[in-house]
Amino acid sequence: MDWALGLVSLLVFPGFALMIALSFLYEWYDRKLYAGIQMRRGPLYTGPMGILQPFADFIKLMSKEDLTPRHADRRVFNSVPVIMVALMLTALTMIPVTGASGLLSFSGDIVFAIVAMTFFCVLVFLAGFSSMSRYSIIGAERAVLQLLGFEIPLMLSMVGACIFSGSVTISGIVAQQSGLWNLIGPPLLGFAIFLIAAQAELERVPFDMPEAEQEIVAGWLTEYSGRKLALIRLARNLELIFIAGLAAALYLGGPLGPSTDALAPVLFPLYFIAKTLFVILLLAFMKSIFARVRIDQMVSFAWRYLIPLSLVQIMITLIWRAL
Amino acid sequence: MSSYERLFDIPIGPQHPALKEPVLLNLKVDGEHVVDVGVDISYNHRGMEKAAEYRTYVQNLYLIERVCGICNIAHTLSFGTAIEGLHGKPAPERAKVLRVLAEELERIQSHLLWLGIAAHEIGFDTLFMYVWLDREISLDIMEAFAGNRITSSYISIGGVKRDMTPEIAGKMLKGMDKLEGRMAYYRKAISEERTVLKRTQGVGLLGAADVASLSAVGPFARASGVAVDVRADDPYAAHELVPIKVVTGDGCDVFTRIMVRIDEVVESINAIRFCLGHLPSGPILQRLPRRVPAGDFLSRVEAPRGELTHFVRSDGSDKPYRYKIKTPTFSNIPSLAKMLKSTGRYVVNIADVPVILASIDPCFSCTARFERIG
Amino acid sequence: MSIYREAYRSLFGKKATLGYPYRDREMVHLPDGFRGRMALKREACIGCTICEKDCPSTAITIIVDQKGKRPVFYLDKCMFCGQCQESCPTKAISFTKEFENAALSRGVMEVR
Repeated sequence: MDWALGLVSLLVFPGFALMIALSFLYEWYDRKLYAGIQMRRGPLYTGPMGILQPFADFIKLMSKEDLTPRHADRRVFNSVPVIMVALMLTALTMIPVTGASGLLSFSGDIVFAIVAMTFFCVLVFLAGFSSMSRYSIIGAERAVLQLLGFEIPLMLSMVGACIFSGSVTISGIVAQQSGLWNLIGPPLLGFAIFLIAAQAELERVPFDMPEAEQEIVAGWLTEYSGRKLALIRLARNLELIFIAGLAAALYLGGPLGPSTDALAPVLFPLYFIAKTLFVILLLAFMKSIFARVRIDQMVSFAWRYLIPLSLVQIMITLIWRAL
Repeated sequence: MSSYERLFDIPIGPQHPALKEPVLLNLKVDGEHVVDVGVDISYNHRGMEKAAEYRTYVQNLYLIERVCGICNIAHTLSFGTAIEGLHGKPAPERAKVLRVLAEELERIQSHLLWLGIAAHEIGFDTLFMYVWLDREISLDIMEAFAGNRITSSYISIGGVKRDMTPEIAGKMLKGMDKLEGRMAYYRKAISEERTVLKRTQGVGLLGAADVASLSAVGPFARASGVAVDVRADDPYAAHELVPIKVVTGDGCDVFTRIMVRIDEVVESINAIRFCLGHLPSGPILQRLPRRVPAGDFLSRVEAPRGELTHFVRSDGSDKPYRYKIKTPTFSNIPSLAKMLKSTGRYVVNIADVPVILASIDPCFSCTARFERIG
Repeated sequence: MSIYREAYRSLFGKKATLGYPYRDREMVHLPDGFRGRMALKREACIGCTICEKDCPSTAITIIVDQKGKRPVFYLDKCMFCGQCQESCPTKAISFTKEFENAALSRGVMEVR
């Protein structure tokens, strides 16, 4: 029976099905927040308060015509969306939802998380480059250039949390925070850097140059349509959960919180959702109060401010640990 | 330029998310830098000048109004002035002041529309939504004042169609107070927001000498320190009476253009207040005969985007013999082509193209005749 | 920073969008001078056909009924400029505030 339980937890709860459902929920939440900040109402008519709108969009895209450009590298072009979803679903098994550890937990899983995020950018590059469209190539170029800027601060901010908790497993970091969150302490600076870098990883304003609508149409996903676009959108929503879940695990104590043994299976996922929603609230605010910067400005900003700052936060954490 | 061939063309337009109207900017780019640009504006030739020859002057009033939705009052004002000029009978004094009032109200909504679009082009959608929400104040006033939000059909040949009532005047003053507060807010918010400054300062530079030699017009030219304004240079309607300060800036970049337009909105608010306070009494419309005396007339109006020129030739019938329009966008296109080319230390990124394009406040569908500039 | 404060206030404040077609219908305010669907005072109309001649979009045709000539307005062609009201010597044409004039068939979009 063990394997059956394992299969259920992988496929349904807290595995793939939950994550995909949450990805639609979070997209809706993000859209609602963004709309609310702009004094709009956002999705309204599909389901109560438009909550089913992202799902409806997904279904609509799935039923649309799926085009592959004639000059595209067909194999890469067609496989990227699937790999993106698979990558993100795999990475999400590492995010703790029901307890201190996720479905998968091994020594150094935080390194895998970093690799997953970097690999996502590589996939973005492949997607853009295999499309052989001018806009896509420029978008892909920008995605890689941007990776140079934000990847190091992203990693360093995560390293700061690792050093503070004295562990390289996500479950270890979460367990260490059962008393006091990492946020209350030196990793606060790391949290801020993580959020800024995550904004770039997620390609949201002010760092959405790889798909800057006004400049290069849709950047690397210009040529995607139909099912492939639906899958890419799904993968990006999953990435949003992944980043929010990672931020919650590293800085906000993961799904842990006040509870009893009997209530823990119910309360912990709820805590997880509450904390990730909080992270997305912060991300949505950042998305709405800035203009998009230019790619050169972004990279120089990252190297001038973000990287020194993230080194400083590692130094502070080290000193704190030594004391 | 690098030693190996890495230039390639990026077409922006004729259909592109950054553009609201059909135009082709064929950018030659080296990585992210724009090296050269070809502009093709002739995608939406609507044949309006020819169509004007087959309609009576009364019908033309509405055709000309639809040359440009946003500057409809400037176009009809220009048309009306031209026809009145051919008759030799200017509009009554009250109508003239009301025309200025409508024109300035239109300038407010046009500049706010532009501000929103400029924010959208640099990816700042929140500011875009806020600005357009405030634009609704001016549109609501326009609706109450003239009967429609955009194509207001307010100006007629020989005067204006509707009189000002005390209620509308009160509503207008209240709206102006609100708008003035908002403009002060935007001025502060935009000059404080670092990402906006980064995207607009030093972008799209064009010095005063170039602006003058390329005969640019409107707020775009004024932001480079060239004080061209038909309202001050060649007053029409009641502009001799209404004091107007020609707002200029000397930054020559997109940021200055934003600031100049915000200040012009404030100037327009003051002009509207002045008009409401100094409204002469008298008739608002002078009926003119349907047949227009033979002759030529050229009228100039300061549209929100710059100098607008209408030329009419009449052969004494009730239809114009020839009609010719020159829109402000047309005058600004040579400057646009120059701004989009990187020269020496002045570098244009692909990312800057939309906001530079927006900074001349283009309206290509009003412009399309037959020209090609490469 | 001022944009941040505005964003915060907007998020929890009243939204600007009306839920117009399905709800908030009572919140649509039209000013008095609004030009919506036109109305003809048949007893005032003298059948002079000036409105037909002046209409810039040929949205008016003249028909003959038991009282004589009278205009018919086609809403699908009309652009609501108000010139017919302006030209009418007897002020027989007026505009109402009714603005929801779209219909699925042209037959409905006539004002007789």
